[in-house]
Amino acid sequence: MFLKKLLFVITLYILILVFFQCTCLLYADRIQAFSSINAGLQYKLNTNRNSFHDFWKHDIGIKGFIETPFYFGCIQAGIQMDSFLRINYKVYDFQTVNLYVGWGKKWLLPYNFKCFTGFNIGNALMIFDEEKNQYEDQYNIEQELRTGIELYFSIPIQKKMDIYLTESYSVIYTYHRIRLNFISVGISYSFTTPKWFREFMK
Amino acid sequence: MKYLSRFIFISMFIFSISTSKCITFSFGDKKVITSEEIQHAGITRIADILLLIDNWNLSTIDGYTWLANANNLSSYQGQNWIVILDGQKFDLNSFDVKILNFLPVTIDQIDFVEIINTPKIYKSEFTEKGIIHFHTKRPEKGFSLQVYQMGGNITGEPGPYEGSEFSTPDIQRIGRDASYSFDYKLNNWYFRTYFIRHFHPFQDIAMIKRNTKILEDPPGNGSRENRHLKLWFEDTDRPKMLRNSLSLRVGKENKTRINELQIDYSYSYRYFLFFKPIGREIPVNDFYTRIGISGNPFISDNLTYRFQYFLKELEKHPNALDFDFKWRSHNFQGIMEKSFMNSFFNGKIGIGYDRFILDTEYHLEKDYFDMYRLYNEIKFNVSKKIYQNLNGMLLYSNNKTALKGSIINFWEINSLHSLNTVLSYSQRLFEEDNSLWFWTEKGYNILEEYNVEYTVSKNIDKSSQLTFDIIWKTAIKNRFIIKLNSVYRNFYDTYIERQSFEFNPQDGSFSSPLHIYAGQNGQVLGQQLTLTYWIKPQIKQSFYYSYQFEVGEDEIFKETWKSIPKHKAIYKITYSPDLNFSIWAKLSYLSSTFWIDYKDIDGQTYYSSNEINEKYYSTVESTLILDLQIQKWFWQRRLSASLLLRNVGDQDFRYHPIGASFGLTYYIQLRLFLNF
Repeated sequence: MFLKKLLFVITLYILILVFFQCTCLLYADRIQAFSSINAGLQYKLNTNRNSFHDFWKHDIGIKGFIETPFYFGCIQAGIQMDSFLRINYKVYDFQTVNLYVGWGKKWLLPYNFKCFTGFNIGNALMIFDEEKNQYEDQYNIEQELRTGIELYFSIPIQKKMDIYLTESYSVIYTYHRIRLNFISVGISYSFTTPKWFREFMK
Repeated sequence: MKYLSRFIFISMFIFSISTSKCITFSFGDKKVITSEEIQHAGITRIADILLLIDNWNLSTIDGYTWLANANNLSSYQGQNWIVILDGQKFDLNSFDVKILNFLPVTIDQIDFVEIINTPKIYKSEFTEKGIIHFHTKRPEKGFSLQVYQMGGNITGEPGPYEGSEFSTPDIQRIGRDASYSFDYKLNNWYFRTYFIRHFHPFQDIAMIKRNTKILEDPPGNGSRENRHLKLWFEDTDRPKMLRNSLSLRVGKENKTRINELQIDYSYSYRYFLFFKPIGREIPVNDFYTRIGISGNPFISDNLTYRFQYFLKELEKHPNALDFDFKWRSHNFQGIMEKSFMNSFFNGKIGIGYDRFILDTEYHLEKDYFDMYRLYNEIKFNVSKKIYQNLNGMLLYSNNKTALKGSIINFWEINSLHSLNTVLSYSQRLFEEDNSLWFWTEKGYNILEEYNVEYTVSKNIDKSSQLTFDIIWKTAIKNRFIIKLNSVYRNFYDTYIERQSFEFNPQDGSFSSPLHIYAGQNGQVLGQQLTLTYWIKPQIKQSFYYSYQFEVGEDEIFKETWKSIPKHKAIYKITYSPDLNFSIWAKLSYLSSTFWIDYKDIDGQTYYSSNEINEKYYSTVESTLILDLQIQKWFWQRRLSASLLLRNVGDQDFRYHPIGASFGLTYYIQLRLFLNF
């Protein structure tokens, strides 16, 4: 037991060190930070199946985000909305509204293609169908921590516009974890950050 | 011991005539936590600052009130470490519980925190059980406004599964704490006022169960109180606390003098006070008012004064046990201190007076006690590189005296190495503890009224302690600092409470007769290592390890001390690539602890459902916890947002056998600073 924990400590220590050493090598770029904004909209499709899907099926999902260069890598902030319909009558329909922030690194590929890998963290608001509120003396809103990892490819279609293809995996930290995998497609538009917004971010 | 104490006292005055140049640095083991560190480390409430003191061990039942063992100067019994805010001592104790979160100060007003870990005279107190001193920032010219908002959530909600076969108990949000502070400064005069609000709901299933049962007011009974509370509590049946406090500071400052008037009012509605003799929390309305003045009188810059009046009441909150502490106390404190300096030495001499009055319905033999103190501190250097601090205090109360003193040597071996030694001996009067047992002896018969069986093995008299610390410190190129501490503690004639709790599954409570073993002795040895290393100016990391163990033959003492972790290791890292952005992480390991009072509840089930089967154990298992915070400033450092994650690995982690389990928790903090 102790050895297991010791191994866990050593692994975590190495991971933390590697992470910070890596970011240290990435020189903090204060000039480029917040210089441009990339805003996008995506349509989401749930692709995985687990015990959660014995109770609900994913109906509609959309995601809106903005992305800007950070001191190293890029930061993202956005909102994701998903609707889940019950397939088991012991539970209720619900929608999730997830406000999140994330960080990742963008890699340039041939032909101006770009690839992004990163993670995000947010608060998932679960809004239940009014039916639940009517029959139970409970709140019709719950909130929970949600984390995710993301990989996307962007293909330029115009100077400032890109098409996105995203693969993402997220976990909502309810007692029984809700693990969801999504494939999304969407479009984004890039522009120079307004001066007031850049000043605000700094 | 008598001779040793006399020796310390006499030697202090003999050495005071030695020749030397003046010195001003601090002696002994002291830690300073800056406001920057506090903001980086994701402190959400004042008491969380204790988590940043590596050599203080901590325990908590509810996550709001903390028990501390300050550098092995006491066990978790006897919470006599001292809290000071801007020079004024704060009595935040309710029996043997010190509620640091009741301190009337906002996190953002703290300039720095000083922690004294070895015994010496400090702000007219002898720091034999440790001291934590909060220094607030001085108000800036013009108007300034600070707003703070915090909210959090422990993960593990039932979420959409509620109502299904996978349903689990609902968990409430933490806080929505807030504080608002307003400063105004014109010429030498300043005015400061602030308001603090805390919400603290219980998250743990067992604690919710036992504390819901004791609340007399069921949900939706239509009472006026409930309708009013709906605004604040949303669901009044859940055990939650609401605290509001309002403070005012008015002062005048110039280059050498500051004179300040302080007024504080705090009201904590339905605070669940853990009253160990009956083994459970009792809801009370905890209220206090304080008026204090401090500063330098116009006659001399070297003279300081501090006076304060403190009124405290534990007001009855409706509860199923009809428990009423009937406790209202008045405390007056006054201190006068003169510092002196000449070409040979510097130091200070002071006198103090305390009166404590208990106003209760019980008939007391004497409802007050007075305490007088005389103290002296002298600093000088013995040779070019050896500095010495001699300090002592004489305390007098109820025809009894106590002597306290320490000899501190600081040897600057060379530009890289230094050695600090602290030898102290102190006696402690029963009155100083101001404990339940002191007042029970005077006729405060609360235990008899509520049928708590208790016995005392022999008369509780004054206790004493002998401590020795040796601290070696080295700095390599100012980037790498190594600090090695060895500690020795010897306690004499101390008293120890012992219970053997049994669990009552009906209402989730505990009960046990209580026995007090007076005249107990015990010794503790410990070793601490601290490494601090700046990899680059933007990256600071530190590692701390401590090992402590009890020695001697006294089994009662040794069993009590098993509740303190033997091994403790902490790794911290702060990464700030830019002034306005930081990442902070802390990885801590605590070895398992054993709580003798709870040995009879081993294996008792406190919650059972299809999904969860939770049991109590007297051993708190070892844990490895990772905390992480990300903070970003906006709008030229006027606005700040931070996300704090505690227990990232979501370990089943608790500090106390019957305390809450703290799973993965996230907090969001927002701060606004405006200057006009």
